[in-house]
Amino acid sequence: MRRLSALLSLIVAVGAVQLAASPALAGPAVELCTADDARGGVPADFVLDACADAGALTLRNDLGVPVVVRSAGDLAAPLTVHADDSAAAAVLRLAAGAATLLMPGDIVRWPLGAGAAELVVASLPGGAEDAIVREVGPALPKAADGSAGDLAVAFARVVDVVAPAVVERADCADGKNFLRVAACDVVISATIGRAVSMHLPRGAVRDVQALLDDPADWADWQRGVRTASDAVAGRTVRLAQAPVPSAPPPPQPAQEPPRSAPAPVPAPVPAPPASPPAPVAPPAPPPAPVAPAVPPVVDDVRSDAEEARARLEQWLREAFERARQELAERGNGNGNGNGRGNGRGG
Amino acid sequence: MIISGPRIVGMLICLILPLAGCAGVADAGPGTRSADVAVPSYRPTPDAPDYCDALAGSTHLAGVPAAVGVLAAERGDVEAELELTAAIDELRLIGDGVSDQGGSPRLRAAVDDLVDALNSARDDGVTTSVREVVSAALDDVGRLVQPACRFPS
Repeated sequence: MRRLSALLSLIVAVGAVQLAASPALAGPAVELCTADDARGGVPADFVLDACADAGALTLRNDLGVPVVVRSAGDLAAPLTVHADDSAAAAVLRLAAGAATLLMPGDIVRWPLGAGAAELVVASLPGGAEDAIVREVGPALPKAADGSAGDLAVAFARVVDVVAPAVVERADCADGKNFLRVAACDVVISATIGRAVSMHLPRGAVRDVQALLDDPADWADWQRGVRTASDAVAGRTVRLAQAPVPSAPPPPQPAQEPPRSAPAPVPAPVPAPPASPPAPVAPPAPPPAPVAPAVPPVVDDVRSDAEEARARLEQWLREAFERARQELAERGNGNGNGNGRGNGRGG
Repeated sequence: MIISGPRIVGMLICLILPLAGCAGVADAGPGTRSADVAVPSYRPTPDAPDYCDALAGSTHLAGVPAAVGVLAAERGDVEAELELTAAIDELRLIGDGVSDQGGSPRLRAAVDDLVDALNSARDDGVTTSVREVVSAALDDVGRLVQPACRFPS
């Protein structure tokens, strides 16, 4: 019995370790929207939980680390469905720059236009931003309204500088003796010193510098960089959607004499697809001609053209006949010539 | 004010105990280093020159990066300047040792360059170029002593 319980404990322990080591399952997440794969859908191994429908792309960060998402193509500004509103998240959003930051658990929706569009997921640009903010963020004084305020903006600029310096320092110090490591440390320490003095208010410089300028922390932050990059590595990071397919152009009518032909009847606008209940209603796709509606319109145009051609031919025949009759009448003259010959014969 | 006998004894104990603690560290046998030296775990090989042990046992070289960082943020910080001064003093002694023990003139020159760079950081402030010079000088010394000293990496 004791052996059995020990075996069970071992199995549970191994399972727990494997769960902890394996990356979170992501990819298509139907609970985020009513999926519509017509424009490409979501790759099965996409790095985040994602859902594509006719009007939007929705992502949820189920990783344990923040990521940034860059959008391109026919996408409107992202709409936040759920977001971490902590001061640390505010600093990281500022540090993320133009990209959209998704903290763990965040859900963001990008309204989708008719053109091609894509989202690309990546770890934070410097890699160590999250670890730095978690270290120093709690020490930052809050503004009067409880937010990190201007200090968050200033600290985000410091983080922008220090995060890549941590990675550079790790590369620089690898495999070197203490004097050569000190050479690397001089660079990052001076970088931190200049960044805090340049961006932070004078009263916060020494405290924040003391928190940032610690080689033991740099090593920890560097491990965090690896964790963040491992979370994204080996997974599909690009979510692309094809443009709405456009109908073939209507055939050109045959070359004809000018006439006042009736304008082609515009194709009926398709009804917008059913959309799931969502915070923001997806925009209806642009009107696109529907193939089955086109042929009758073309037939009408052709019959009008044939009729016009018949009328024209009839008119020409009648005109020619009138002209021929006038000439014949002139040939049977009445002798009332004007007699103004010039007499210049030969 | 009269101080009673037991109080005097107590005060003496308070004074003596810390001294005994320091003496205990000082009297520790070879191979035992204080935790605040540059490389507490360093054990020189028998043929290693003495300046290797002096470098590993330095107490202010390890403080150079932080002092440079403070001076990069605020020129004239007294504590950081004192730290650099102490490191410079250590390096001068080490440089003399390099010459005395037949070390290469190149190593001696590298140590002198590092002293000059630290003087510049202390006296002129830490600009980007000063930072680069200090870093390069430290790297140079570390690279030149490694074959003889075999410091852990």
